[in-house]
Amino acid sequence: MFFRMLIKNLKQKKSMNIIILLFVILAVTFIATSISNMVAVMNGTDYFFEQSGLDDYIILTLRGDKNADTSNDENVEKFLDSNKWVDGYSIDENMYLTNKDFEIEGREEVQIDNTVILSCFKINQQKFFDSENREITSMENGTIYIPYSYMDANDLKAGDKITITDLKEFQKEFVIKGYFKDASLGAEMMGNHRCIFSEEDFAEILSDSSFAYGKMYSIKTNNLKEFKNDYNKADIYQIFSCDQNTLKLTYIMDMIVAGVLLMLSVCLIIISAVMMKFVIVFTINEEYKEIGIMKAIGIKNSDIRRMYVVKYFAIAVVGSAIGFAISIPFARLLLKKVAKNIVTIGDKSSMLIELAASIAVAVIIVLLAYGSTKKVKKLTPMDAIRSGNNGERFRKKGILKLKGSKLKPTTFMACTDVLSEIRKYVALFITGIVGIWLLAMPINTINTLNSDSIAGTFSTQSCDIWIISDEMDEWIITKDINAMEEGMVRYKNKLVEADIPVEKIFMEVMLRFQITKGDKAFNSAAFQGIHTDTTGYAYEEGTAPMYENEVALGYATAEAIDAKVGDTVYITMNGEKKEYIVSALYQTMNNLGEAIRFHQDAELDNMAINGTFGIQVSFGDGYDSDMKEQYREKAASVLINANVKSMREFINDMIGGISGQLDSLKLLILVIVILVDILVVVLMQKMFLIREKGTMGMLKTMGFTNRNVMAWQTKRIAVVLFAGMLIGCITGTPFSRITSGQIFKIMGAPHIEFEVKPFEVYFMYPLIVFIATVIICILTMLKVRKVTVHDIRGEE
Amino acid sequence: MAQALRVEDLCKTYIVNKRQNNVLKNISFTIEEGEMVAVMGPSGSGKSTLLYSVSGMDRPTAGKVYIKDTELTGLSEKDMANMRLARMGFIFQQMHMLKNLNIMDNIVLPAYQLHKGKTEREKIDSYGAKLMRKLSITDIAKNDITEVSGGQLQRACICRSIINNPDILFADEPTGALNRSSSEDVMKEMVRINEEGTTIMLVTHDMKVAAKCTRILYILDGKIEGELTLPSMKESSNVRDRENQLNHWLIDMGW
Repeated sequence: MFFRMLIKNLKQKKSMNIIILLFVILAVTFIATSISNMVAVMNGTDYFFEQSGLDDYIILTLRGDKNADTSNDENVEKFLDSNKWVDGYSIDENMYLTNKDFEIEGREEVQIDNTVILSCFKINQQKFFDSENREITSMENGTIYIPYSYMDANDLKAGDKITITDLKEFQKEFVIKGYFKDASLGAEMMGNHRCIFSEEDFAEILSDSSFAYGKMYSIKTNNLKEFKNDYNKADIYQIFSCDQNTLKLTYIMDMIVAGVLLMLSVCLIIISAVMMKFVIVFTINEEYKEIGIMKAIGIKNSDIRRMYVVKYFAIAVVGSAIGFAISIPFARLLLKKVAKNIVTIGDKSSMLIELAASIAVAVIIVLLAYGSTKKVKKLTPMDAIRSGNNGERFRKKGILKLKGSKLKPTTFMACTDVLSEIRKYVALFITGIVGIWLLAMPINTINTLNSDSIAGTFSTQSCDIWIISDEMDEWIITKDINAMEEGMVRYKNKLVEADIPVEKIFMEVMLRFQITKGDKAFNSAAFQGIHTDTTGYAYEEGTAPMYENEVALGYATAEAIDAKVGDTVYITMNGEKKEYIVSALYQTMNNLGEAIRFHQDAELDNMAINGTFGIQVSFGDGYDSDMKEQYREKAASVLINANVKSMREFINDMIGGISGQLDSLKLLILVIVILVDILVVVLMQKMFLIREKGTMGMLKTMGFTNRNVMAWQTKRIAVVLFAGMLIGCITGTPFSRITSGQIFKIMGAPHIEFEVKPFEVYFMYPLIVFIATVIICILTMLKVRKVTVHDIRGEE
Repeated sequence: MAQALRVEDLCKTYIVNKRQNNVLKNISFTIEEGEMVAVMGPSGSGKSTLLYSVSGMDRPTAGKVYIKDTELTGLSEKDMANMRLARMGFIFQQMHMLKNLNIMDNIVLPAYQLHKGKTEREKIDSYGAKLMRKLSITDIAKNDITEVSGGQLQRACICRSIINNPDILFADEPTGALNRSSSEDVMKEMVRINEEGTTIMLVTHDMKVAAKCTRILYILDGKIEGELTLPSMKESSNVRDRENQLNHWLIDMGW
C-alpha cells in the first residue's frame, strides 16, 4: 500500500517531481564541479610543486659561453658548500637564447619577448609534466616541449616544427611535442620560460652551439630564512634567485583565473543550496492537501514523513547520479582554463571528490526533506478540507495597496506578490546579485590591467609605444649606458623623420643590488629611468627621491628589510655600501613588489644592469587612440628590426597574457551566469505555473488576457532579478576590490585603483543577462495559454 | 425585453480515452435582460459545461452563443478576454481571490484592469466602497482574504464580479461552499443585484437557491429537458410557495 501510494504520487505529481529532479541534477552538477575545482585550485601550486619535487631555493647563473669565466659559479658553489643551513644541492646546465635564435617556417619572427632557457627534460632540479599532467619520463631525439604561452603567442600546435640556430655553426630543426608544465619557470608572470629536449639533443646543443651558458642550483635547506639572509649578505652575482614560496607567488596571475573560477564555484554552491531548500519546502507545502487527507484516514505522522523521505531519497539518488555524470566533463572544461601551466590533482582524485560531493548532496537533500517534513506534524485534516487555509494566519500579507495606485494591475500584482512572499524569491534575488559579482570581478580586473594608469604599477611611466629590439640585449650584456643613449637618439630621429611625434623618449633599466638595514639584507631588483624624472612616477607614501642619496622602495623590498619612509638603508655597489634615505614607498607589480628607485642623477654600478623594458615613446597630448594606433603602425614599419607595441600590448605581455585569459573566461562566465539565471527562472516559473494555475484560471475568468497573466508572472521575475542585479551593481566594485584587490596586493600593488567602466560592467552585461533571462521567462510562460477555467478547481 | 444571452444549437464533445463523450447536445435557449436563470440537473448532466460554454470559458464544439448582439464563438482569445472583463461577471463555488491582495484590492482589480485613467480609478475606488457597503462587508475592506469568513469572502467575490457593471453574471454553485446562513445572505444579495437590472445565470444543486430565480432550466444528459418560470421575488416573495412549486416540478422532471 505504502509503495503503491508512493508510485502514485510520483506519477501524479510528475511535473513537480521532474522539477525537483532537475534541481537536484543542477545542484549536484554545480556543487560537485565546484568542490572538485576548489580542491584543485586551492591545492594547485602546492600539489604541483610537490609533484615536481622542487627544492627550497633556486639560483640561476649566466656566463657568456660555457668556456667563459667560471669564478662566479665557483663562488656560488663555495658559498653553498660552506653554508650551515644547506642540506644539499644539485646543479643543472642551461643554455640561454633570445627570439632571434628561433625560426618557424613561414613566420617572419617568433613571438618570444624574453630570454629563453634551454635544458634537458631530465634534470636534478625537478620533474616536468606534459599537457595531460603526465610526468615526462622520456623524449625522442629531434623533439621539443615548449611553454603554453609560446604555443599560444605563435599559434603553434603539436607536430609543428621549430628551428634553433645560433646563426653560426649550429642549426637544428625540432618537432614540437606539445606544451609542458614547469613548476619553477612556467608561471605566466615569469619573465624567462624554458624549453626542454632529449638528453642527446641537449648534449649536442651544449657542445656544438655558441649560446650563452649558465647553471641552475637547486638547494635544500634546513632553515630557509637564515639561508636567504646569509645568501643575500654574500652578494653573489646571479641572474635570478628565488625561494619556493616566492615561486608559488609567480603563479598569482594563473591564480587570478583560478580565483575567478573559485568565486564562480562558491557562488554556484550558494545558489544551489538556496534553490534546493526552496524547492523542497515549496513542494512539501504544496502537498498539504494529500497530507491532510492521509491524516484524516488515520495514517501516522511517521509513515507520512517516511513516504516523503523515500520519495526524495529516490529523486536524490537518481538526480545525484545524473549530476555526477554531468559534473565530470563540466569540471574538466572549467579546470582546463586554469590548468595550462599547473598540474592539478589527477582525474581519479577529482572524480572521487565529485562522487563524494554528489553523495553529500544526496544526503543533504534527504536530510533537508526529512527536516521539511516536520511540517507534516502541524498539518491537520482541516488543511485538506479548507484547501490549506486554516484561518490561523493573522499576519498581514499585502503591503502595497492597489487603491489609489498608479501602477498597472499586473505590475501591482507582481510587486505585491514579491513583497508579500519575499522568501520565495530569495534564490532568484541572490542569483541576480551573484551573477553581477561574477561578471564584475573579471571585467573590472581586465579593465584595470588594460588601463593607462597601470603602467605606474609596473615601475615605469605611461607612454604610447614601446620599442623592443635585439640590440637592446647587447646593451644589457655590455651594460653600456652610452650605447643606450645613442640608441635612443637614433630611434628618435627615425621616428621624427617619419613624421611621428616624439614628445618624450625614455627607457627603464633594471638592475639588482643588495640592500640592507640593520641585520636585514635583501637582494632586490632596482629601476633607473634614462631621460625620466623621479617626480614623474607614482608613490603611495612619502615623496619622490629629490637628492642622489634618496631612494624610493617597492613595498616588498621595504618589507623584506623592515624599512619605512625616513629610514636609512645601505645599498652595496662595487663592493661598497652606500647610505641612502628612504624618501618614498610605492607599489609595483614587477617582481611581486620588489624594487628600488634611485634619483635620476644617482651614480649607479652599471655592472648590476640585467635588463630593460625597452624604449618608451610618448607622442604628447591631443592624439586619440586611433591616431596613436596609426602612429604605432607607422613606427613599426619604420623600425623594421624592432618590435613596436602599444602600452596595452606590452603590459599584457608583462603579466603573461592574463587579460586574454580573463577575457575568454569573461565570456564563459557570461554564458554560465545567463544559464544559471535561466535555469533558476525556468524552474521557479514552472513551479509557479503548477502552483498558481488556479489563480491564473481565475484571472482569465475575470477578463485578464494571456498576455496580462504572462505580464504579471514575468514582471514578478523581472522585478526580483532587477533588484538583485541592482544590489549586485552597487556592490560589484567593492566585491572586485575585496577579491581581485587581494591578488593585486600579493602582486605588489596593495593600493591599486580599479578602472571601472560602468557602462560595460553595470549596464551592458547586466542588460544582456537580464534580457536573455526575461525572454526565456516569457517563453516559459507561454504555457499560460493552456490554462483554462477548469484549472481553478485543481492543480496538476 | 431584449435578449441578454442567446444560445443556438450548442454542442460540446469531449474525447476521453479515444471515446467521444457528447456532454451538450444541440442546446438552444435565451435569457432576457433582467432575468435570473438557474440551471439544475443531476451530477454529470452538463450544467457546468453549459455555463462555461455559454460564458466563453470553454469553446463549444458547435453552435452559437450571443451576449446581446455579440457572437462569442468567433471571438479571438483577446476579444473574449475583453468581453469577460467588461461585459461578464463570474462567481464560483470556491472563493478564488488573489491571496496577496486585500479584499478591497481584489474587488477593484478587474476595474483597474479595464480603466487605466486616474479619474476613472478614483471613481472605481468609490464604486468599490459603495458595493461593499451594499453587501455589508465594508469592515473587511482592508482584511487579508484569510481573515474573513466564507460568506464574507463570497460576498466580496460578488462585488468583484459586478465591479465593471457586466451585462450578465454567471455563477457556478455560488453557495456550494457556504453554510445555510451565509448561503441565504449571498442569495439575498444576488437577488438584489438582479432586481437592480443585472442578468444572472447560475448553476446550482440547491433548491432554495434556485427558488429565488425567475426561471429554472432542467438539464439531463446534455439536453434541456424542462423549463419552469417563477414570478420575480418582488412579485412573489413567499419563499415557501416558490420552493414548493419548484419541488413539485423537479419531482416531475425526475430529480
